[in-house]
Parts: sequence; structure tokens; C-alpha cells
Amino acid sequence: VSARRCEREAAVAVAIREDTWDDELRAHAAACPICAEVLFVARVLLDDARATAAERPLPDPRLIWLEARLRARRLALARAGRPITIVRIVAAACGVAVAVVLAAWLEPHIGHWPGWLRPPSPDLASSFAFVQGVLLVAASGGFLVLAAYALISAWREP
Amino acid sequence: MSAIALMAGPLPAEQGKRGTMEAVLEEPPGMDEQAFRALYTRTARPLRAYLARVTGNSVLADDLLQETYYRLLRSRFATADRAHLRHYLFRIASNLARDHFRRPRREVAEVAEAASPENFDDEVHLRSDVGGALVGLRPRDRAMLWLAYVEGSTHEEIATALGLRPASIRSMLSRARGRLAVLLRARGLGPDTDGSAL
Repeated sequence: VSARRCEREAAVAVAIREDTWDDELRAHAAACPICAEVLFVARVLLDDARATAAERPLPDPRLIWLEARLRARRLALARAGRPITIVRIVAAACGVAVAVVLAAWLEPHIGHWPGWLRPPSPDLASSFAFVQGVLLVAASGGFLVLAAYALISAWREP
Repeated sequence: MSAIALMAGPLPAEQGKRGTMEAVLEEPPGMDEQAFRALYTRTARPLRAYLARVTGNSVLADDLLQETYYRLLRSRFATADRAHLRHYLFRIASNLARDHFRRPRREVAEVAEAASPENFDDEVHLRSDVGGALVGLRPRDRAMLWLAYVEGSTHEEIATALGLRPASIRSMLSRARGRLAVLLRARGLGPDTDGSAL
């Protein structure tokens, strides 16, 4: 027995819980202050546990089961909807890019463009055309990827 | 059939006609309803008693109890070992209780179980005193004592459930036990001196 621990305290705790006392352990628990404290605290807690467990009816397991199923359903829907949301965002971005490029290409055929849509100087016109080309290629590529994704998703759909 | 279903007994009987709502709901992974009911019947009362004493609030204990089972069902945890499953449940419950106490104080209205002094029998007196004494301990100490002496958890299991180092459990448990003994004696619940407790 050290200052605050005894090698037998685990055995005492088991004996209280499972009522498996033998004479030797009983004698030890009566003499050892550590085991007496284990005995006291464990008995009080076990009595309290029995009383507390018996009070009030439990929540209905059927409701818990149904709520768990609802949550699983919501989770599955959220997971399934995530790629669709991503596709929508990318498609919207591609649409905006194509609209900008088309608007710029149509510029010579339309009389009065707002100033902010025109290149600020003739020197920048070539780089402006380059940006238009890059945007168009990127948007077309995006559309192709989305189309492929949509086809694969449709193919896998049960 | 899942391991839990195996553990709980034979396959559930054919569910027969199901309601429209049920038909469209997802089956939680890893367990069927009959297995869940068997598990619930076996574990819910001790689990709620644990949560009630750790949180000091029986209404909150009911909420955390339900959340514990939701999380178990969502976790896909499957084992044929009943004791292992029980410890896993207590671990989830301990995490939920810990999360509760970490929330801002405004949300955590810890309520010591109060009851009118009239119409008490001895058992209710005892319970009230024990509840009051436990509230004098930190939630972690309450959980530790309950797991050790009511649930019979090993030091390793307690450490896992409470997120502590196994090596420190023994001394922490000893200190918590000493503090609870003092609090209980202060409420007139001294240990039996005539040996009748044995």
C-alpha cells in the first residue's frame, strides 16, 4: 500500500460491482484505507447508477432510428448534390467568358460600344485579341469537360 | 448482414409493408432496426445515467443520449464484441459531453438536480446527495469515476474515452475519488464503519 494507491483496489472495485467477495479480500478492504475509500465511493456510485437508470422513460428508439435515417438521407443528398453545384458554377463561369468574347468579336458590327469594353489604345488591341482567344479556348474546353462529365454521370446513373 | 446484426441475434423478420416515408429514407449503414433496438434496450439506461451525472442535467442527458446513437449509426462502426461496442458508445457520449462543456458558457446552463425536500424517500435523498456531490467535481472527474466504478472500464478504456494518457489515469482517478469521498462525507454520506458495507 502506497500513500494513495493499493494493489488490491481494482479487485475491490470488481468485487463491489459483481458481488464476488472472498473472505481474504473482505478482510483487506476492511483494513486498508485506500480500499475502504474505493468501497465507499464505488458503492455510492453504483447505488446512484441503479436509481438514476430507472427514473423516467427513455426516448423512443423508433424516433431515434427514423431521425438517423433522415440524417443519413440528408447527408447522401448533400453529397450527391456537391458535384452538381460545382458543375453549375463552372458552367456559369464558362458562359460569362463566352459572352464576353462574343461581344468583343461582334464589336465592329455594332455602332456604339461602351468605352469600358474597348481596348484603351490601339497598341493594346493585339493583346486584347489574345486574351479574347484564350478566354474562348478556356470556355470551350470547360464546356467539353462538363459535357464529358455529364455523359459519364448519365451513363453511371442506375 | 452486419456484425452488429449478427451480435444482436437472428436476422430481423421481414419488415412487411412500410410506410411511404420510411420507404424513401436511407437505411443507416452498419445496422438494421432490430439490431439497433436490441442495442438500445441493452445500453440506453446506463448510458443516460452516465450522461445525467456527468452533465448534471437530465434533460441535456436525454439530448446527448439521442445524439450518441445518431453518431453511432452514422459511424458504420461494427463489431461482434458487445463490450467493445458499449465502450465505443460511452466514448461517443464522453466526447459529446466534453464538446458541450467547451461551448461558450452562455449555452451551458449546468443545472444541478434540484428537488423539493418533501416527499423524499431515503433512496431519493441519497441520489440527490450524490448528484450534488458530483456537481462539486469537474466533469472530467465525474466521467472518470463513473467509467471506473460503475462501468468497470479499464484505465486504457477511460483514457481513450476521455482523451487522456493512460499513464495518468491512476493518479487522476485516485485524486478524484478522494475529492468525491470528502464531498460525500460533507453531505453526511460517510462510509460504513461497522463493516456492513462488505
